[in-house]
Amino acid sequence: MIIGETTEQRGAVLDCSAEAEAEGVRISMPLRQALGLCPSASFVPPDLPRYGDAFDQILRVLETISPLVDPASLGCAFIGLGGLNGHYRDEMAVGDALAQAVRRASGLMPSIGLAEGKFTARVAATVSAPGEVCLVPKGQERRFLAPIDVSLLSCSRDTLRHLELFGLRTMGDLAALPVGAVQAQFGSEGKRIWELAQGIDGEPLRPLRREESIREHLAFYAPLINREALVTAGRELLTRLLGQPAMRGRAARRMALRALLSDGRCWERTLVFREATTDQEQMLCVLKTAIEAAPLTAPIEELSIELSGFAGETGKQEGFLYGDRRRQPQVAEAVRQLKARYGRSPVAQVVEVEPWSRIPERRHALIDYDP
Amino acid sequence: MEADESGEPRGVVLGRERLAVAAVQDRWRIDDEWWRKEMSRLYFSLLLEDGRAVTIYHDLVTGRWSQQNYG
Repeated sequence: MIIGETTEQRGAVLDCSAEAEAEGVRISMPLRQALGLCPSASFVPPDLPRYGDAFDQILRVLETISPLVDPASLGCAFIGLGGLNGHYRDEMAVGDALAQAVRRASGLMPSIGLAEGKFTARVAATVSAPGEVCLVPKGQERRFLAPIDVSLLSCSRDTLRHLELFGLRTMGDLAALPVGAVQAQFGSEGKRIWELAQGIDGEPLRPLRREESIREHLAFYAPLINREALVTAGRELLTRLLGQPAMRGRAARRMALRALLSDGRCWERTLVFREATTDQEQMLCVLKTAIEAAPLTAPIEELSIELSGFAGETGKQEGFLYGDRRRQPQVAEAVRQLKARYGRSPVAQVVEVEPWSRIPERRHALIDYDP
Repeated sequence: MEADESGEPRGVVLGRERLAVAAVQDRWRIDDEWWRKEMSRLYFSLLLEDGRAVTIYHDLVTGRWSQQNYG
């Protein structure tokens, strides 16, 4: 089984089964090449939104173990273990705790590599079996990496091809060369891969910074096939979201829409407002445009909206009498009541009288507002 | 309002505050509406000592000074 979109014959292998791997299929390999190597494989189109959700769930569980979680790519995360010594017996115990946490959260068996530096840790995780923890003791990085194939280096395809041409098949082969020679051949990338092969990786951990967001969703008993109904559902969701205490005195800059289709696929779109807003009509207008342009291939089973990018609410001065036309009847009614109470309308209106006059106070006049 | 011998404003009183005129930025005269109630005004655009800019006029018919709040 190979996960990858086959309709266009483009893109790369996202993942594959052990059987496909045995045929030579590798992650990130062009799908066309994978098809050539394993023509009998079943190609499964990826459901990236769902994978993203599952991965996010795993990251949240990992964050309960260490606050330093760096999501490198879908399915791969680096975790800073500094400061955890007092909580666990040894490093292997941390690895076991991480493996158990992932298993409990997702049912998946993670491969875990424990090492100094991101690169060695990644290689250790790659070569270990699912559910296993591979520990590379500090100072043993070069020895551990020595027999590993250079294809695991993070470098360009061109460089990999050249390494192969030079007969450099393992990291040990590369690490044995003088750095100057590698650098002379491959430039700055040469120095980088030479250091990686030595187990030297100074790339810092970039811990995930979670942004505050609020989310609401609606599941439809009968899947929706009508876009107008979807907009109505969007209005309901926005009403719920804007009524939440988290929105009090705050405005949102981003709105993420997600529709779950009945064929199991997902449609996602993130919309950014020009400025943070709490205006439901403005949000709805943007949402409507997005829904009208959405390539919806099947009925919608579920719609969710997430608001994020919160900022302080800013006021906008609107015209009292000429702003929102829908408010006119309300203003007229309020003035009628004031007039009944005070005998005359206490609301005045500025009207243009002689705009051409050289005398400023002749240009406008203040008259009673009496709708 | 305080003016010198030539009629140039020297200081103004805004509310309870007396402020000296730092500069007279502009002046102009309007004579109008002679057909109903004659109007003759000498306008001054002033820069005050605290940096505020105000427009005042001397009503040449009544002799009163006033501040022009809009225009």
